[in-house]
Amino acid sequence: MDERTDIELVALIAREGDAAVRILFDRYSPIMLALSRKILSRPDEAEEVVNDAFMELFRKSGLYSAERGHVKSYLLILTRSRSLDRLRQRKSGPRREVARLDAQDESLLTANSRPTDRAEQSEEADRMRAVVDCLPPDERLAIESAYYGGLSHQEIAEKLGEPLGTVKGRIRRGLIRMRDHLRIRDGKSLV
Amino acid sequence: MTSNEIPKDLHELMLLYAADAIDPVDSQAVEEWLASGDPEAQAALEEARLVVMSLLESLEPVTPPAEMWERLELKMLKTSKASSNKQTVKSEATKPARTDRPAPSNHNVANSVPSRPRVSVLSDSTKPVTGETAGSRLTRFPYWRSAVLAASVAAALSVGSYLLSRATFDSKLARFDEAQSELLLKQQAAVEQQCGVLIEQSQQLTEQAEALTQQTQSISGTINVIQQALGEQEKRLAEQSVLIQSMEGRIRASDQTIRLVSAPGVQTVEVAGTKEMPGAVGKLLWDAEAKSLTFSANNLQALPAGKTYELWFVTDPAGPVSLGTFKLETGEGENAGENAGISVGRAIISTRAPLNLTGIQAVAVSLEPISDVARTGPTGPIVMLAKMQ
Repeated sequence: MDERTDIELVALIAREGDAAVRILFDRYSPIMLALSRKILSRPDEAEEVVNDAFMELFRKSGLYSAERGHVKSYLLILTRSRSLDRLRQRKSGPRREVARLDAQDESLLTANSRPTDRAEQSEEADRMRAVVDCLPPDERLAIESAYYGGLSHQEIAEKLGEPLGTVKGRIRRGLIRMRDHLRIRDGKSLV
Repeated sequence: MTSNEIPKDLHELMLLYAADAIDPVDSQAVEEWLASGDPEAQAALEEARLVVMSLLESLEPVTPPAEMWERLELKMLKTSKASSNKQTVKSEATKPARTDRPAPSNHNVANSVPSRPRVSVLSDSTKPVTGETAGSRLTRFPYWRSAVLAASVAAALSVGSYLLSRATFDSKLARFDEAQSELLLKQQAAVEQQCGVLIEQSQQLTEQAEALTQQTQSISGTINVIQQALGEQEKRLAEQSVLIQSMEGRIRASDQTIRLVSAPGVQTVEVAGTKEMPGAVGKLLWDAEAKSLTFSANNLQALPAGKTYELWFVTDPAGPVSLGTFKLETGEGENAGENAGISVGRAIISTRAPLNLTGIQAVAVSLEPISDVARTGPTGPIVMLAKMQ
């Protein structure tokens, strides 16, 4: 197990090339792949997106600064962004175009579609999962529709057949519920 | 804006903002709050980021397939190769120093993510990147020393960095070349195998062609033998045909002889050889009524080349009238046995005389040159002669 931090590894990419990328790949490609598959539902496309994200890190590693945030967050946000771009290209419409809720989107919006080939889960991941698991199904569905589906409130309302206000309320309540859960976990005040 | 003045709603909007689930109008309010430099805005953003991360962390990780890394490695290798080529071109020009890293920039990677045009959720600072300020230390030394030291350190770092990256690149290139070589070797082996099969097929075809050639030659030989046999058969058939014709002639002559001998009023004349051919003897059977005759002779001498015998009636007053030319019968070849009993120098001729022929005085045989020109009388020696009554 390599003890070097993510930032150290990014700094080493220019000198060590793919050896440093390999360590980051081993660390984060599983969660990136999970995210991209959650959005795209197609394993081959998801793999391409994840590899593209690493290529971007590889090419721009010289521009990366420790002050800019966590490498993991950067890779995940990049993966989400690229995956949503692909999803929109596939739908061949503008970003906020309202599309029909097809089987693929349905699977995207469905919670708990988890692969089973993972044996060990980190303690931190378990805690994070507990935060999401605290959500009522309708709130979780609304949040995931926005985050993984890249949909606007209006689009989510149309797809779910719910009033716009209801959808907005569910997303907001869900996020607050998650935040409060984290605050309680970390012993912070809820106010 | 102070903590007391911040509406509770703004904290909630920050959550929506981080989760990319905010309306554009609300988004503006959040961005203004962040731009105000309020530390609470940054804290709210950090908290919201954790909430979003918890959403991501709840995903069950998926183990990537092995070939996924191989594809990525190949891509990086190609990029390094292309970059190395660019660097080589640059170093040939008048660039001052080589670097494998792009120049520092205010653009950071997180900001380059194509998303909504706002401050990145992940960025906890918007300050430009600044390295360690060496200026304060440099002021302790004279300017030129600082410059030399800085240049030396920079050169050493640059060379070291170059050598390291070059070694890494070379090692990748070697691996890449090795993989290419392996692939080429495999392809070569496959081609060689195909060549082997083709050579084998070619040999089989050659053998088949040779067998066919032999069969053709054999058939050709057989055809030659058959053609030869046919030629011999034709030749024999022609000989048989000649023989048949000869025998038919003789049969006709014999028939006429028999008829003449048995017919009433037929005159028989003995014809003797002259001093030119004293041994020759002959007999003429003459039917004056029918103007038909048969003449046979024996002991005639063999004809010299270009000569023939000619039979004549000598009449008065018309003179000699030719009755035709004749040759000796041959007793050679396959018919020798059959003609063994026939005397050498034998000849027989059966013919008709002109119907208006009168005043026959004698019959004669002369030796004449073979010629198409009709003769009015004997030109050569008279070899046989007999008077007619």
